[in-house]
Amino acid sequence: MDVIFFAIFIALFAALFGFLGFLGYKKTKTAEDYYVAGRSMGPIVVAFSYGATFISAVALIGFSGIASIYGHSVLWLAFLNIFVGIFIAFIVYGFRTRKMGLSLQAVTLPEMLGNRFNSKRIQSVSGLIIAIFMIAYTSAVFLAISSLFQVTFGIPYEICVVIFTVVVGIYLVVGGLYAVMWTHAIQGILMLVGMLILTIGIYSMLGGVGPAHEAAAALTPEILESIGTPAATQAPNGLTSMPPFLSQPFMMVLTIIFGVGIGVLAQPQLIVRYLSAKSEKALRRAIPYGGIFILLMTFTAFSVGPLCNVLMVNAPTYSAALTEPLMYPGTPDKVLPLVVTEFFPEWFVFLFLFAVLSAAMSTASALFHSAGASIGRDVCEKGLMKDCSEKKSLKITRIATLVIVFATLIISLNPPDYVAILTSFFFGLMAVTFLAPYTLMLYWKKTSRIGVWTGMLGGFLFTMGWYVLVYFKTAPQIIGSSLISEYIWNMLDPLFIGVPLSFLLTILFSLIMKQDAEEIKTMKKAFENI
Amino acid sequence: MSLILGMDIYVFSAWILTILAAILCILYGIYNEFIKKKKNDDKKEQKEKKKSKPKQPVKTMKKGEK
Repeated sequence: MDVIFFAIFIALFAALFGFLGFLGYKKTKTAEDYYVAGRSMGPIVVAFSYGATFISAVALIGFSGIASIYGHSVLWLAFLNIFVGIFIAFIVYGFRTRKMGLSLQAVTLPEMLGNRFNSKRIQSVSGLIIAIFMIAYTSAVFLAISSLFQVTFGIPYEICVVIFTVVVGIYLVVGGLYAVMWTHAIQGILMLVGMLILTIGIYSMLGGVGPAHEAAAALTPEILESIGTPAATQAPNGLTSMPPFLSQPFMMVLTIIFGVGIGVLAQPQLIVRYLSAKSEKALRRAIPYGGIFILLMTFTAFSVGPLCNVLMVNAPTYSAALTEPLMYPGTPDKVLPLVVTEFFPEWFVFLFLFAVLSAAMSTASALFHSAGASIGRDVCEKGLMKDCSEKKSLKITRIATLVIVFATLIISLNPPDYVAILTSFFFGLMAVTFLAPYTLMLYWKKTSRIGVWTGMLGGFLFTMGWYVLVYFKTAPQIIGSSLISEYIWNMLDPLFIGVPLSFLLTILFSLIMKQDAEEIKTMKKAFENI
Repeated sequence: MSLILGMDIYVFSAWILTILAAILCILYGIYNEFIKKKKNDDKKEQKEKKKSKPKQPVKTMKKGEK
């Protein structure tokens, strides 16, 4: 592909986002504008921003690659993404979060927790946890997208990282959440168009839904082994069937499905989207848009993943330029880019790369924003400083966001091994640490400060311990081998034990160590609009 | 095992449930936008009608009237 042509489009892309950043800057007058876009966003922007934040480049490329190995069984995750990630998330969490956020004058999840339980320490500690792990997660997003561009265009990895970080950093620091959400809307449209064409293209190449799935079902382990894909062993019942119950592939699929599918409920960068909606009506209206968006993202990505194997095995049938089957490219995240490059016209390769770039930039900007808010607002302003003016608060957060962007750039340029490890458990860690305190804060008036402390820290420590000592992916890299040898246990996501444990701790300690007078006062304030 | 649209029953369930979940989101939107709104509008209309109904003058008995 012509690198100059691509560079021109990247420059236009950057200029457009820079312009939106400028518009955001003009509109950002108060700290509330910067953190939650003045609580003024309409349904379409909320839905697209929520979806574009939720669906990263990892979800599009990484998960379709995972689906190419584990087969269509991963479609259960697409179901949870829509049913839990949109329907339940908005109805059960979104409306209440917005109302309580307004009553408590909170603009971040840590601030909601801090104000609800009258504790600046809760706010600072949870803000610090979020910021640290978000920096690592964002680095991994840049790492993935820069590697993709390096492979496709031969642009040096370092230059890619610097360009992406600078572009996202500028419009984010300058324009705040206004710029982030407007750019998300544009990025979301690009992602939608890209995935829609990709899905229609692959299914029409394979003769429609039924024939395509039948062709995938017909790929025996021997055929899959001939192209070197791990699907030969990881989808023993075939690409369109569930793996045998409690087998290793089954446990892997289970971990993926629930780790991400349930973990979505307590992601701080997504919770901010509820707070930015202009009304409950806007949130209600965002639900259908969100459902369609996620359907066209994850459902399509997980559906076409296994079908990539059909195209790779029968490559000469579907591409005149190929004379032999395509071999598995080595890692799952390279499967979809390989198929797109080999079987689609050049204009689509170009569009697809922009769709993936959009997915990466949207997630990264949302993560930068949340991490910046956590450090600026939750840790510095509320934890370390006393009495901060609106103007000063905004300045602190902008500087904090800049520091976060810079830290991410440094980590992305010299990525240590642990970045990949931290990323793999970001969703799970956030869910186990925050889901119980967040849910009980919204629904149980008797939740006390001590209960939240124990639930939050108990969940956090349990998850860290599980990842360091037990989990099959991380424990061998940290301590050499897992303490539990049975795969049924060491492949289990900590969420399965951690979330119930965190709920139990929060409820138990709330009953033992009851709320004091000040907490009761803030509780009443929190529930005044509910 | 027999296949439905090329998928086994568990995978097909996931496939169809995903589509149904998206339809549920759309139906929720339609319900809130049109049906619930219409219900609320009807209620409002009924209230307004009640309010705008001319009240019957209360007959007061004059002194000596039986």
